[in-house]
Amino acid sequence: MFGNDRFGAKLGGALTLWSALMAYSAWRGESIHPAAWRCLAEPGRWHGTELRVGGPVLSRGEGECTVLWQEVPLKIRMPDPPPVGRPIEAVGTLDREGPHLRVRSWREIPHHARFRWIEEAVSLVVLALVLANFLRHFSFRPEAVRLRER
Amino acid sequence: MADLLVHFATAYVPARGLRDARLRAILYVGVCLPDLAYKGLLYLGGASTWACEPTHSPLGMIPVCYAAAMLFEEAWRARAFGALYGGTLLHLLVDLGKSYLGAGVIPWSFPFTLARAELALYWPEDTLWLTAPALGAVLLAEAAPRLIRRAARPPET
Repeated sequence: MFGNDRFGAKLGGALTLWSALMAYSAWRGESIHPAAWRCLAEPGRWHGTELRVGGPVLSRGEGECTVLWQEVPLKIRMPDPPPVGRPIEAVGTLDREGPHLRVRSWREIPHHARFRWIEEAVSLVVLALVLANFLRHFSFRPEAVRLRER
Repeated sequence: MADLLVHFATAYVPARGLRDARLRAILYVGVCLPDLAYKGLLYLGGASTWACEPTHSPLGMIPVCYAAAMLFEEAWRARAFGALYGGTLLHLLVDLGKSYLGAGVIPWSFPFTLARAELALYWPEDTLWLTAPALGAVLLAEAAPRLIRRAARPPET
């Protein structure tokens, strides 16, 4: 399984399988959880589809608010909408009337979430250290793709 | 990639039990691999978020770990695959604890279904608070064996 015989076929097969899985996931995922603009363009088609949306509250009214989700305003019906400007995320099903989101659960995204860039910076340092440690023990010499005299 | 220090700590502490530093080095790459593949495809490859989903599924990562393991010398491939895939599973276990309001985070049985699971133990942004404990755990795991060895050494006369 890990031998050198048919090396190219094994490596090519794994990469082909990986590409196929990505393509399948993209195709099936889009059809299950569509993009915001598709939901609003064809609300009848996506009626009843479960969505996870997130973004700042643009406006609020009695029992509903409008959230900017993927650069598209989407109406969300909920009992006690948060104040304008607060970032929220919500899970619910799309209703063709409006269209709007019938919310199942939602939350205000806490203030400290905006400091996740610190984690991103730390993660880049960790990744650099992990790769540096790896390169202390292994070096990459792609001899298989080296051109040789016949 | 927002919480690689936490992921690294979950691998670093148990990996102290592995005698081979080279195997540990591969395990550390493995525990970063799902986020590395996800962000790489998303930002460098321009792929859609759904196309990147297999990077966080146990079955979907098998071909990636296999292809990566095949880049090693023949004698190392089986061990490299085990370390890469072990690290990947550890990463997915930690991510499984996240809460996405019940929408799920890890597609456990992909490609058979795209249904996602979550344990809802912490919010995604809560890993910010875990950064310091994760760093503490790494330092403790590094320092503890040295301190124990020093304490066990007979006093010099």
